[in-house]
Amino acid sequence: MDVNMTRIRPYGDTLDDGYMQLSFTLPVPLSAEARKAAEILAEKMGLEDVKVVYAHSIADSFSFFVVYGRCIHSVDMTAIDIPKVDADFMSYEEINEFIEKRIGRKIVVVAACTGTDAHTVGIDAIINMKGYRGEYGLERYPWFVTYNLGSQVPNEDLVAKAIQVDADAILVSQVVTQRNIHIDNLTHLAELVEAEGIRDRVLLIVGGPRISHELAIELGYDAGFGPGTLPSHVGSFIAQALERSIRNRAEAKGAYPCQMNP
Amino acid sequence: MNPSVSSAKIGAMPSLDETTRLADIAISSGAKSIAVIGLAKNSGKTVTLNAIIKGAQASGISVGVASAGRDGEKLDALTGLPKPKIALQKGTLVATAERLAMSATASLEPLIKTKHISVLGRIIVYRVSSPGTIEVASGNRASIVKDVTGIMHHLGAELIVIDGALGRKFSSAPSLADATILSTGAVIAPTLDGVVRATAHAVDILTTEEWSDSCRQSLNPEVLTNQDVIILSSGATGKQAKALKVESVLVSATEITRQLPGPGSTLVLGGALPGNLLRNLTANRMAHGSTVVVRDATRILATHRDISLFKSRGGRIQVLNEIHLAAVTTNPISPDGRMFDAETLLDAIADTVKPIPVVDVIAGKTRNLPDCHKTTGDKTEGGEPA
Repeated sequence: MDVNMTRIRPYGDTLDDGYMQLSFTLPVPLSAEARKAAEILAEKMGLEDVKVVYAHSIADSFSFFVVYGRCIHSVDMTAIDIPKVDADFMSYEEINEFIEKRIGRKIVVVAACTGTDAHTVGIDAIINMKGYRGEYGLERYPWFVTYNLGSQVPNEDLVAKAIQVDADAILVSQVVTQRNIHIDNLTHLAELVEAEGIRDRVLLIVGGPRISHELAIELGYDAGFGPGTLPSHVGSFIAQALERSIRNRAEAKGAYPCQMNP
Repeated sequence: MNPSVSSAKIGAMPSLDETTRLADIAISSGAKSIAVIGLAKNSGKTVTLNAIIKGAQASGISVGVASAGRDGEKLDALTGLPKPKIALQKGTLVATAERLAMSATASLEPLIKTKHISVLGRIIVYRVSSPGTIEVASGNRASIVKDVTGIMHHLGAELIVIDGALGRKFSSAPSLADATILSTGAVIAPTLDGVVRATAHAVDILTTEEWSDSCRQSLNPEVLTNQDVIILSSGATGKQAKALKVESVLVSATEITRQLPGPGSTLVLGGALPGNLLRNLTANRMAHGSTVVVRDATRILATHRDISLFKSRGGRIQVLNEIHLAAVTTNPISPDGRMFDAETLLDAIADTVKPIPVVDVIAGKTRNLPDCHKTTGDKTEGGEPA
């Protein structure tokens, strides 16, 4: 298939036909006018040849629509530059061997679902022994010491625990992102870690279905993990980033600032 | 809700008159570094930053630019909406990541390679050799920001402007910046009242007054570590000082409260002030007449609720080093389409934060400006004082 990476379009039945399907709810009772409104809305979004293929009344004053149409837009994928988590993903055995050989001590990780968030499924998949999708969680790794504090943990308690156990990494899970509540919560956590003077000695990592690495970096975190992340991904990043920062700290004691070579 | 208005405003250029004014406010205070922080994403930090850079350059001051987050990017990482770019003139110094420098439209001459490596590559200090726009990210933690601003000062920058990250406030610490400008706007809350209230809380904390006790002189904040807690109390035998070493106030709030001889003591904290200490002091009837002193206002991380309860019981919070809040800027437009009347917002904020100057950079309107600034750039109107 000859895909033009500078002009990516949705694939419906044939390459570059642009056909796509949307579903949404309008806060109006179902009527012929409501169907037309859904069609006009899709047209305004850049769809041509719009068909409302399904419409259903879901309450007295709400209607649900599925529309199908041809998108007139295309995307230049070669112009996209997204920061990605900088790590070579390793297996369970490789990670343990890496830590044993390069760091020589166990890595301490403190994890929690913070703020009002009670959705621990993500953090449990990464931390807990039984793991996720056939992979063990970090708790099972002999070279990791983990503390999973559970759900609705105040930032203050999470940082307190990290200080008490001298953690190398703080893992925070945020699933609830309505009205961007996670932003306030993550900001507060980062400020607290900075104000407590431990920012330079812990890795600050956030994960969740709406978390991008890009956003995490902007918030002052070291990494952000989105959907589909496996325990070994997080484990690889922590091991490699910790090894790098230990090495950097040792190097920083040498000459600085070094002049740029011409 | 009118998206065409907001997208038009995003690209709007501030009038030159107001841009010099905003820079003047900051420079006249003698600041060599200014932190621009926001109450949230899209509160107008980058527009404010551009205004200061432009104003400073117009007065012939050599500028250095750093960012504690990532700024000048084309699209917002959260909303995906277009964002204002950072425009730099020839001669400006800028600290940014290698990968971002490659996509800048400004020509850059690398001067110093720092030891800091971010996800976007190594942080390098550049000099702009031909004007253009650039994305700036100089490291997302205090230690890196401090380092790169130091390098740019060393290379001859007279004024360093540090852009903040989202709603993060750490870059306003007096150890990083001499003065701070706070950006607030419609994005903060759905109602005008809400915006004013949230701004008032933030300003209240940022402008926490300096601890003026006689013991202040004998205390060197430089030697204070994050683990230090000093308790000062006056008993029958005069003033007494007790120094404690704690893992962290977060861990030892109960222990610290137990060590207090009674209400009316002063606690000097080396690290953060979390809500649990204030709650503990209040619950144990230790708040009345007592003072909690922190290094600077960025260390105050208790919620508004904990702080007001503590204060209502007669407690005080003070700082060793005050933040100089030079101005507040307002942005009446939120990216979700909400819009307030520019002047109404400006007046409401100005009224609340008096006497701090308030500027709407896009509208070119100011409030609470001391007289000396009103005449700047327009000598015919103001004239010399008699």
